[in-house]
Amino acid sequence: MAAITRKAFLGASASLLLANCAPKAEEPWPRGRPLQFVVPFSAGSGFDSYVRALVAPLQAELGQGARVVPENVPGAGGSRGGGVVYRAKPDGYTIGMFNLPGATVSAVRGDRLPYELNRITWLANLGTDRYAVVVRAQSPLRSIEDVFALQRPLKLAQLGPNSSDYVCAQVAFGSFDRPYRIVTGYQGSSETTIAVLRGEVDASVRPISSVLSYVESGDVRLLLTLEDKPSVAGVPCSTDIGYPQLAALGLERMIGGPPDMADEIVARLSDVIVRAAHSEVYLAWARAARTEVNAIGADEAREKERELAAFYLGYRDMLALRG
Amino acid sequence: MDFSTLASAFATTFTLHGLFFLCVGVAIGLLFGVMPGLGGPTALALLIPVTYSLEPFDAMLLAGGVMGAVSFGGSITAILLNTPGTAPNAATCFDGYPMAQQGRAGAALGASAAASALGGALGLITLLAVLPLAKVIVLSFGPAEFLMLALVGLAAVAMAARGKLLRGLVAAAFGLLLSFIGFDSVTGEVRFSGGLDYLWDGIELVPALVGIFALAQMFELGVKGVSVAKDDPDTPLDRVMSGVYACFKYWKTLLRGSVVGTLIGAVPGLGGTVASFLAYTATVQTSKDPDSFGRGNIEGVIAPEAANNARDGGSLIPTLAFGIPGGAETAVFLSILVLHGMTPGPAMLINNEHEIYGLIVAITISAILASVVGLALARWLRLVTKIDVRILVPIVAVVSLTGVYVLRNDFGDVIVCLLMGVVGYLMMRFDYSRLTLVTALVLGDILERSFHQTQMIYDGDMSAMFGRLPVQLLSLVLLVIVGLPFWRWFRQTQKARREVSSDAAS
Repeated sequence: MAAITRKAFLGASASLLLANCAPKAEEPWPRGRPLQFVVPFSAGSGFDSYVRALVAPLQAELGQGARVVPENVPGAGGSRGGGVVYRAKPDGYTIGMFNLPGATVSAVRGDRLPYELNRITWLANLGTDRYAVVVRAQSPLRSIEDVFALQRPLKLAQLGPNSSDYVCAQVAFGSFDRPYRIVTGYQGSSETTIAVLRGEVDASVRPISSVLSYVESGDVRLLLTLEDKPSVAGVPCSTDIGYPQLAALGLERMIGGPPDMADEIVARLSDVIVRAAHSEVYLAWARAARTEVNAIGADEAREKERELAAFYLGYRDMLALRG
Repeated sequence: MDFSTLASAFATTFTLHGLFFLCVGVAIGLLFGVMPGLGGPTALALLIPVTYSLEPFDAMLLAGGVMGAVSFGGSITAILLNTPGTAPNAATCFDGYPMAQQGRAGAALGASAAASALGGALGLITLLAVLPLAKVIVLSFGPAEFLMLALVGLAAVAMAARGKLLRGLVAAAFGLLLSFIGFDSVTGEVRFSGGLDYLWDGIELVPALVGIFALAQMFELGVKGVSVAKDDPDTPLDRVMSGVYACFKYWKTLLRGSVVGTLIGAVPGLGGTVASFLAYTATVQTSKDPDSFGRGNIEGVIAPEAANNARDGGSLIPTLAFGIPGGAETAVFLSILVLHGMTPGPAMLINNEHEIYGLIVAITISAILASVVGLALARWLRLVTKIDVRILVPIVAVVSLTGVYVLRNDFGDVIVCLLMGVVGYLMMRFDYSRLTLVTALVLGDILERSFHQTQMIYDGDMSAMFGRLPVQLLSLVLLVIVGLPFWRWFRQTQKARREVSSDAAS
């Protein structure tokens, strides 16, 4: 008797749960359900702060009391979170950030990913963080020429081999055609910065925004920025010294959804994300976080993803080498 | 350091307005601490949207309240149900739970509460004292030191397995094997994953800990069919206070735990779990009666709880020196700072002095506040140990598994938790040390990673790392840990021989 009651109870609760999860067809998007925004890294990470700062302006843009709930799905260098978005229903209630170009390179290398990158519905790109070669203040390397003149392999501290960080270091120093060795295994970008400060490595290739405050405090120096035009006073850029192709390197903040999303939802989402990213609240956050927000919509983001894939495909041999 | 800023932070905190936010933080911290699987980082991440509309100082009080209270909350279930509320509380189970079984839950809770409060305060005093040296401390710990620290930890648990060396080695080897599953963080290759995507990131620590302790315990209780406290003595309230007094009686243990906690907290990349386990093993190692641990020695509760709270202060050292988080909680906390327009980094202590001292005050007061609340409730909390297993087991199992699932929304975590529950239960039944397994699991990843890194940094010549002072000091500690039992054995044989010869002479 007890077992039957329990079974009945479980059945009833399960159907209640299902009823709750089912979309209410009569209500127009985005009402009735909160929008799940997947962050592929843990709370407190760079990607996480991008999303959490966007939540309030995004809710304001969506209007009608819409709710946006950030959800951290960390793991496997950001690809677990990507998998969650990929497998979700394309109903506009699940979107997420993608770790590009890390994922692009994994695809180029033929690594197994829990999603097909070229089937993701791209919605927007919040901005591109450019990279720079960083050394600690006391380093004997005073300029990029000193680096090139070094008689031994240069030691670089980078995140794991599947990270965007590692990939950019490979392409940059592979293009310079100078011997280098990557010391990796650091857990998070701040550990990489500390490794430079401790002096256990010669340098690191890091997003400019993540090290600017250390430049100002006099703890580190930039030797070269990987971009078209110099953005930091007194620091040459890669195009200036004859490597224009390196300006394509950058850490993207791409937002995507599951494959086969309806066009009108894509257009709406792309529009609200770009407007939210241009809101005063978000720009103020970006200034405080020292990051550049330069949001682009769905069409340009799609184009960006194609360009990245073509670019890194050209470096396939260089990227196959690890360490 | 500016005492007037500190004083003004105290003054702002002790207003009705300030105390309100602090108390809300403490309540949330206790709640998230008690729920197995959930912890400080989850609580803080959920609070982020709430802090949008708050003044920066109020947000600091709220966050500080959570950070200070979480670890005591987690020790409550660790002691009463052998179920660590947060990962660092796992070390508290080893002696806290045996105490509860002996009907001394009140004393254990009292000791945990007092150790948490005092440890938190000591950690922050140390923080204020070493702030001028913060940069030196953070920069002197690199991969070579991590490697030595992991070896020290492993050696300590190996030596703690007296008389059961083979079983200890089996448990440690199993723990190390588990820790090597998933991405090799240096080569990027996936190992031992058996083709399962879930295992790419290896065995997640929280589900494993909840399984090994909480579920294993529930299996044990379910099989035996009795309540936690075997006999039914009507424990008087003064037992709670006896736990508080014990913290003062064993002040060396308290101090040792706090120092270990602050130091480990100051090193980015090592978490509270490492801090509390090292504090526990250090206490066992230096104790005159190491065999009493694991059987309800109150020092085994004091050391990890003091370390766990002192770590909060320690983890602010790299945050204030470089704007680099010392742990997961501080990482989330930093993102709250950014949302309030503060720039984490070396300039923070200058630009946002008031908020930072507010946070320091909030963490200290909340650790004390949480402990006072805990002491007041201890009398009723210990009744949990008398609940009928038919009610207790299903509730704890469901809450634990829900907590594990909610943390990452991955059903794989639930499966790992269940499997580790079975492993933990079998280990209990066949008398294998779960401490050894868990320590190896926690340290295995650090050991492997720092070994690789040290090799790369010194171009394969590992002997070069012994030129560093911290490595030399840690090597000395390692020698002492390995040598101490032999020294004790030598002294005992000498003593026995003397006694024999003096007996013969008389």
